[in-house]
Amino acid sequence: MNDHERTEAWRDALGDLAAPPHLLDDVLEAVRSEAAPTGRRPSGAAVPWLRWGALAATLLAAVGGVMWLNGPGDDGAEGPRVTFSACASAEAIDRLRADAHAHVRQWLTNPLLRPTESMPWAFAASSRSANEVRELPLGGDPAGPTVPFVTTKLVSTGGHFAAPSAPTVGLPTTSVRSVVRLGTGWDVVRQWTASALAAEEAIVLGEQLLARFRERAGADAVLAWQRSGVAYVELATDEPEPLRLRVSVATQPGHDGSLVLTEALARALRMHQFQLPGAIELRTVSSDGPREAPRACFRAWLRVQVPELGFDEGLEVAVEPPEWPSLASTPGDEPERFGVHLTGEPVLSGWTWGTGRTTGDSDVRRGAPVRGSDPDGLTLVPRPPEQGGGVDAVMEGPGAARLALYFADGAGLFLPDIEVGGRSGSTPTQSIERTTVRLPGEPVAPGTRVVLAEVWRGGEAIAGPAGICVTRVAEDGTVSWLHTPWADPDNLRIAVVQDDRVVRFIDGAQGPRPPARRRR
Amino acid sequence: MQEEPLTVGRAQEGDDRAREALARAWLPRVYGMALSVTRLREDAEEVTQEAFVRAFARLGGLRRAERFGPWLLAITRRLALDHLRAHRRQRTHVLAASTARVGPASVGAAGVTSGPDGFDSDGEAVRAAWAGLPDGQRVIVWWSVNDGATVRDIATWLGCSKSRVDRLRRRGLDAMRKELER
Repeated sequence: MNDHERTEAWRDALGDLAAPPHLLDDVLEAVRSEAAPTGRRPSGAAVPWLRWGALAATLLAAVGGVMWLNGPGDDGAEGPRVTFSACASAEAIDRLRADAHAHVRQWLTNPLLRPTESMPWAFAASSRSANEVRELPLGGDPAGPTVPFVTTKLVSTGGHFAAPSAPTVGLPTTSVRSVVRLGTGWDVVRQWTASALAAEEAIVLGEQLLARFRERAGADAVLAWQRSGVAYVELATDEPEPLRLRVSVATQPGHDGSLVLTEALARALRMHQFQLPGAIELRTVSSDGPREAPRACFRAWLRVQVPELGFDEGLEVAVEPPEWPSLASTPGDEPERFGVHLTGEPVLSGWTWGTGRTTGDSDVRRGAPVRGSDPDGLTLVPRPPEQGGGVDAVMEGPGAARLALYFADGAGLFLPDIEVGGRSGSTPTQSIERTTVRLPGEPVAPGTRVVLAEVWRGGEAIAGPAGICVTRVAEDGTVSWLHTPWADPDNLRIAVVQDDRVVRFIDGAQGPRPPARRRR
Repeated sequence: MQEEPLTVGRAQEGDDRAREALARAWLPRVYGMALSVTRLREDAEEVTQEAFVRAFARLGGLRRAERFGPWLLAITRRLALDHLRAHRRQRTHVLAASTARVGPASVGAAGVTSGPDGFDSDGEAVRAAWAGLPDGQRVIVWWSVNDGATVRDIATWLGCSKSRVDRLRRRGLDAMRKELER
């Protein structure tokens, strides 16, 4: 059998597994019945202002309609009373607790992982105790600090350990007290002493929230709104009376679902204690059209209550870091901010990008894509989990390129030779994925640095198409492997590094393959 | 499909015909991806439907129309993996010698070769050999053999380099050949 005959035979054999004829009809029927109308873009791609303007008007009308229907609040101000408070679902608490434990344990047990100013994780300190307070000392620190979410009953932090991470800088260490309440619904009620609040903050509402408002207000409400978007936000505090903020509710066209809070408001809500690193895709609009850029942000849970509507839901929200305003785009850009995708993906903290072969002429630049402008010819787009997570590196430029990405959790991926040129003129995109692998055999201490690569030669990692990943062992013994698509874990070799020396290799093994089943 | 970005644009504006055209064009590849991950036809059909539903529901969020295909395939792959996870059939990448790859012998149990079609024995052997390939090779071989896709096309769809795709394709075909010669 020659190659052609073999290919034909295989095509026939695999063809028996091909999509059945009815599948297309099934797909089309499912799409027609379930396609979400909010996902559509209005027409007029050549006139972006009209498009965004129309959408903005719709969204503003939606929020406004809700407010108009409900009339003035008790204080005579316009709009319904909207209460925002930090919260978490039981599931979210579990996740947060696991994350908190892992991070704090690493901080305490591994001096290399002590928090720095740039680390995005934070928890505040408290010198008070509360009912049902249980503290869980962590080994290795004589001060016996406690961790947020050590039990489902209590959230409290020790008075002796304040992580010097960015969100807590400047906070009084005695001001935060948090209690977790067991029960149904949203389980966390944050309580804290009053602190200074900004007089007015911007809240950006996404379509997700607006759609839920709309559901409760009814479709007619959308047409009724004629007023400006102002809401009054109550902040739950330890004070007898809740603090009330007047906030501008600014709808953002093209905002696909994430609620974005300013950093100051999130701080006032004490949400930073719950914050997790995340990324969000932003869009600015200029005369050249929309421009997208991924940015690091924080994620947190926010309880949004509108009693008049019976609205009480917990939403995962984005908290914009203070640097955002300075990101600003180029002159002439409209400073619009869009929370297009809010993800829990690892936060990119830096990049190195070079064009040209490593041995020839090259142009290498370094920077921080999530804290500043993107480099020319390179756009890094975190992909939302439903698209597989990871990062898409969109590269424009001829010839070969080198790319290194650094993440806030210490992981790095190095790709020294990527094909960038393309005859079709299409922009190449290098997808970068993350796979969690478990180390077999003798346990490796959490925090230990490891190097992952498919190809090794003479004890040195060779960056093949999958790249070289440098990271650390997680608390649960797993390793997060960054790689290009379809890297094969069976070819993976992991080097355990201590004191800048490889002390152990761990090989991925291809298990014995059972023989093919043949029917006589 | 040079006109595809225009079709995507129309689909974003709610044109049902454009959506149908996209579904028709991409269905074989999406199904191939779903089948390559799940290795079970019923699951692949389910994942394929869900992938299109989800993709079209979020089509407004797609900023670069020319990336529709890779975007759709990424959604498909994620859904297929989630599907496996939900059914507790997902293969965990355990780096231990004692961990056997999900191979042809277990493929029959998973359903690929045990359908109601009454496959011939040679065809079944080919299908079993294909199903025993590693994940990355399986989908590439499927697209290459079944759809006649070029290395360049596949590289674009997967976001990999052409050399990577070519290597995986050759490795997969060699592995199938050896398996069938045993």
